[in-house]
Amino acid sequence: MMQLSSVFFGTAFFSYLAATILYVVGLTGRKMKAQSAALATFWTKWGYIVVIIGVITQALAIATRGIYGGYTPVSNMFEYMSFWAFTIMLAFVIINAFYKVPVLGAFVAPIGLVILAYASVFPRDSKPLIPALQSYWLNIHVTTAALGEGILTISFAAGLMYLLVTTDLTKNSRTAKFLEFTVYLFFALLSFVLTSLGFRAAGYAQIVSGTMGDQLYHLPPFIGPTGAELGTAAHFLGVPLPLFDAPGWMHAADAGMQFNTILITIIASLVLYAILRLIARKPLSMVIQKWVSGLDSDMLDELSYRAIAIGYPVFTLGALVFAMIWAQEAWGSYWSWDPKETWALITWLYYTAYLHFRLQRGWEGKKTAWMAVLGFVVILFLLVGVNLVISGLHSYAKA
Amino acid sequence: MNNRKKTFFDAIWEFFASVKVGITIIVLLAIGSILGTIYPQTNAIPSPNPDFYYNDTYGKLGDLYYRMGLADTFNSWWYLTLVLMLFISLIIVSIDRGVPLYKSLKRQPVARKLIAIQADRLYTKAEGGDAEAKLEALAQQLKKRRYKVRREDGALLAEKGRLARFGAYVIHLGLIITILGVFSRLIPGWYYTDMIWLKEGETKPVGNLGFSVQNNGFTLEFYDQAQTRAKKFETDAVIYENGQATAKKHLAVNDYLTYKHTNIYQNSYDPQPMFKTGTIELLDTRNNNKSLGTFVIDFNNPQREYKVGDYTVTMANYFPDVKVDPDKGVFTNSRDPYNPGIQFDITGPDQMEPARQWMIPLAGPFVKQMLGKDYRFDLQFKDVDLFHMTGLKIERDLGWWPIVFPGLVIALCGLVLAFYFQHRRVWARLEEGVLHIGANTNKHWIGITGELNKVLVPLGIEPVSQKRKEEPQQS
Ligand code: HEM
Repeated sequence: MMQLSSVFFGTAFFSYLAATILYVVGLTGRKMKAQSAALATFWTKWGYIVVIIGVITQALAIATRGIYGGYTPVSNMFEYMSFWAFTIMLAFVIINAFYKVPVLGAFVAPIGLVILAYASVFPRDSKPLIPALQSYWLNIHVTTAALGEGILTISFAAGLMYLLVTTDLTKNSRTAKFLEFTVYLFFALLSFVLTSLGFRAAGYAQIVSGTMGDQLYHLPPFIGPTGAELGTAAHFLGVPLPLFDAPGWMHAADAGMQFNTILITIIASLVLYAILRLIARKPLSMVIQKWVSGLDSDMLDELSYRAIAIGYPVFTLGALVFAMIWAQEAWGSYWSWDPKETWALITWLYYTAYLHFRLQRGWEGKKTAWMAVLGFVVILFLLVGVNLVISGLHSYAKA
Repeated sequence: MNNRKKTFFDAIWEFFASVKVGITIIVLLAIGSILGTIYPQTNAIPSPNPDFYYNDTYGKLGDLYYRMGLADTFNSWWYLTLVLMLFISLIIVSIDRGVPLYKSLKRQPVARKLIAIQADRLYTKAEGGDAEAKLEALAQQLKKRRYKVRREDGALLAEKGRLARFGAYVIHLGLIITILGVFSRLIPGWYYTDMIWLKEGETKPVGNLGFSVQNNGFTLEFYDQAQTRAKKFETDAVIYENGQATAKKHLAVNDYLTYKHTNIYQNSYDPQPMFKTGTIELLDTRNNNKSLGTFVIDFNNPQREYKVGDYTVTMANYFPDVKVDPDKGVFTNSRDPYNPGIQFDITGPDQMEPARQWMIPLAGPFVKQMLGKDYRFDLQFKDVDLFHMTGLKIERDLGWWPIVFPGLVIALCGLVLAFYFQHRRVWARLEEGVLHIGANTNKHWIGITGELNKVLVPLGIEPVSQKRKEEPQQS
């Protein structure tokens, strides 16, 4: 079962990859030659079909994994993140059926792809459940919440497209800079995934000892744990490592490792960005802007808003109401302010603020589009940051 | 005087009815909540001693966090004030806008001014042909699509989903009820929460609710040898009331006991074990570590004196949770035997003058060195029995079922109304042989555009298309 699940999972991954390529080629093709317009629809049509294939195979991957483990596979970071990628693609399939904006696929497919790849950075083994997770209400709660998050992610993509359509990137405005930064962040996530998976595929493993015990590094240890002896742990391209240690006040035993990952990600992403930038010879946001030029900005604004209007009630139901019912049923108290719960509330308040800002004059369009874009960061923090950054008691804590 | 009072009241009213103020409250609540997630809150720490826990676990910053009251953010006066302001704002804004909206929708005229129709975001007109017949056909078609159609001569108003306009108010109402339910905790007797830490066999009263809980045994199982992943942890609990055992249950996570509307559930356990009993062997270091006999200590309730063969071991000092500090000397952190440190005086046939020496089983090399180790005797554990304290959460919340839960259901209904239904209106007006058709929705323009065109095109009327947003709209 587990092997079957892996095969389905791999198929889904390559479907999303293929869809990304089809959509991007379709769009760039559309703009390059006027006569290739028909071809473009051919490419994007196939992109959509391939996305649907990906969604179906991923559903099968989730189902088979669930049968193997005996529980709904949404209980650790790998399972949860890949489920999120699934809901994003599912939401796209449904929304695109109504709104027919093929260009949206060129944004959503890579986002889903990178999130799925990011999921595979986490340990993939199926582990038995700790007591707090042994409850069916939990499954209902987590899957519904993830669906809400998936739909809300579509509003991020549409908001980004809106900003690209309406911003004059040749002028050096703040919006232009932020847009370029957003594009950079995408490549930062991509480089994180590529370096992590690359070194893992190569079987890189290095034990570094510090005062708080040994740490197993899967990346070259540029930054060691507190108290590690500099330059003695490993060599990377002839450089003796570690170069620095994590400062002692950071307390967490794996602080050095986390720091190290961030440093390597930043370096790798800057290299990747520089290469792409040299090829493009202009800000990358301008390259992407070409894909969306000519799109109706009002339609994109409406689309971004609609995705929130559809996703917000689902999120409310899944992340708050079902969570409260579960907590009441399982723990006897509907709310206990643990970090995950509180961040679900923060995310909800964020989108509540969005909806009310939209009631105000002058807030439609650019300002709310930015809020939709930033909403993605909030969701990302809810799903990843809380687990990795906040040392919570929550059951998802470090898988 | 009266007049001034009224303006003051008006000012308050206007303040809370303002959406800007409402958004500010929501944003402040979000920011406040973020502060409350930096470190675990006191109700969630796996330790009965917050005074030490934050400093020990998170260092100086953690201690500062605790001292600033942020470790209890969600019960702080400022957080509760924000919730209260949200509550007031929700009530006032709903009255301030809901009532006029209701009235205006009830009183809307069928015949709308022509310029208003022409200014609609969806607008089309039909010239020539039999306009009258077209109007009639339009009315029939819209009725088929479940519009409520009203007619006056030469004019038409078709409407559906009016309730959707009240979705937002239903949400707000649901939230008002939910917040009321949360604040019902202030009613005496409605709410009680506590975390009770019980050692094995221990009984503690539950607040002043009139009963006590006893821990009749705690079991802890792990999935793995290294004991990193708990499989289950369970407590045999017994409830006593007036000296009688009145209820008992094997408590497990996700399986709680309800007693007198109070839920008692397995929440956690103290990961740091405590010493229960230990069998200690007395060894003579002057004589090749010869065994002189053994004795048993109950760390929760130690005796003063133990007879070991011909020797007498007297407890001079007992520190159940010993800390040895170069500056502060030796002291105890708590009264719980996490890390017992005992100072013994030992006498015997060949030791008339009491030999005073320490026994700290968990002491590191540093402490050992500091206390000196050239002792006449050696005390070795032969056997030790450790246990974990069980953490039971006591929760009585009478407001959940009758108030909070219905509030949430109402809010969800409101969300469905507000976001999955739309209020659609179509106006038509016949003027000088021309049929003018305008349409409006509160949401989802693509939906109504499609629907309308399905009606208009078969009637031979030019389909509508959305005008740009910049153009004036009428509500
Ligand atoms: C956590 C608290 C709140 C939640 C979850 C909430 C939720 C909502 C939602 C979902 C809508 C519908 C938005 C739309 O149709 O796009 C709405 C509308 C509205 N809200 Fe709130 N709200 C909250 C607090 C407030 C506060 C504090 C105020 C005012 C001071 C307020 C004023 C309004 C107004 C004026 C509307 C528009 C009503 C209409 O369409 O006629 N809300 N609210």
